[in-house]
Amino acid sequence: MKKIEWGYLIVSYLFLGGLSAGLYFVSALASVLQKSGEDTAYKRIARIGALLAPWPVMVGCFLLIFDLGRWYRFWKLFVHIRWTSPMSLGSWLLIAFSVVAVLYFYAWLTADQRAWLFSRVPKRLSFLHLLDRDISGKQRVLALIGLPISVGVGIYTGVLLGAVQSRPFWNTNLVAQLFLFSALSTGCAVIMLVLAWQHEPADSHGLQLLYNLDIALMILEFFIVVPYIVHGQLSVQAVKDSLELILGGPFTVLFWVFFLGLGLLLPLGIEVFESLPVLLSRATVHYNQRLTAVTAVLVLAGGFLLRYIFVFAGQMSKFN
Amino acid sequence: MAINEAECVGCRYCIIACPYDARFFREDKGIVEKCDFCAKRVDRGELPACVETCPSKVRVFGDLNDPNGPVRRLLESRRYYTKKPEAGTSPQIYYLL
Repeated sequence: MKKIEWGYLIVSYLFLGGLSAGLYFVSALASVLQKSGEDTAYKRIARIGALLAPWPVMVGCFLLIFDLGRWYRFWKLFVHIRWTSPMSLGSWLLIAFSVVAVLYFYAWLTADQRAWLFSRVPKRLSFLHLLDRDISGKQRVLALIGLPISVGVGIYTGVLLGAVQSRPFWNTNLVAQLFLFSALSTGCAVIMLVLAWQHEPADSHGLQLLYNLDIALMILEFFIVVPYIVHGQLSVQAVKDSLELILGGPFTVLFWVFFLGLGLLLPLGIEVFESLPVLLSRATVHYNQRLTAVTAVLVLAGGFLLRYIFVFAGQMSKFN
Repeated sequence: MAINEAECVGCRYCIIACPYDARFFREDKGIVEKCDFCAKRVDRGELPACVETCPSKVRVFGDLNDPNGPVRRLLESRRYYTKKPEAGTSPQIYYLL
């Protein structure tokens, strides 16, 4: 390829879209897992995720539209449905997800927050008060509806890259899984960060859910990276050549040290270490808030780097 | 293969997907373009500019479906190859050996 067509805007979008998908997924999971009655720890996770989920993807969509050669024609994507194009499916998924995420956000607003929101509505737009309804009873239904859609948003970006037959660095189904688990992991990380930020007495029950989930996701991620490289090495020459980009090329240090080391294995190690009391003796842990925050930041940086490496390296790979 | 300029949003997914790196982004127009064999000239009954300008007459352009056309006749008498047929693109540009 003569020049890189998809740059930082696309990398940022892939990250932000995945982040929203992850926030929704974790929130929905916590809201489904919470026992009837008062399970405040899970409820808090569900609320944080729900209140944050709609926004990153919306910023990401603006970046996507801004990246188009003719941004004012973006609506043309929504007068066609093309089942064979991940780009078309993805744009519909984004619309569906944004709608559900906003409804879910609304369902998780407290009565006070809703009252505050509607107190800001200007007089001329008073008809908007028709929307002032309590739909908090629909939290679980919306969580269940949105769960598969959030997985769709998390995975389609990887499908989008993996579907490109002419770029050997991308052309494997593993990219889709890698992007999905990384997306869900970044969602976990943001909620961890918020919990750590709030400086309230260590919310160990809630953090335990996030730690366990994130450990599982990062182990899955690691065991996708391994076969990705092993299979690539055993594949046709062009795929082998394309892996040189990370095995002995411009992305080697970025991939091994910064993504795999600092962005995946280090936070995984910290999370496992922090969870040892639970893992070994079912004791309760008091997670170190600072360490939790550092871990979350590492996971987020790793998620962004993964997308950076794949978007750029992929475009540089080709069949000769 | 032609690009409908009125519909292109300029996402550039097709540039990335092209195994030949044949497509390019027109910054000024905000859309993707590729060689169209000078469709406007061909419509007027002229040859593509690269065929006409080639000093050693290396290029031959014509209708593959015309049994007596120059392209068919050359393909029947000469050996040739196509580029990346394994990509499944059914390439219609033939390189004579």
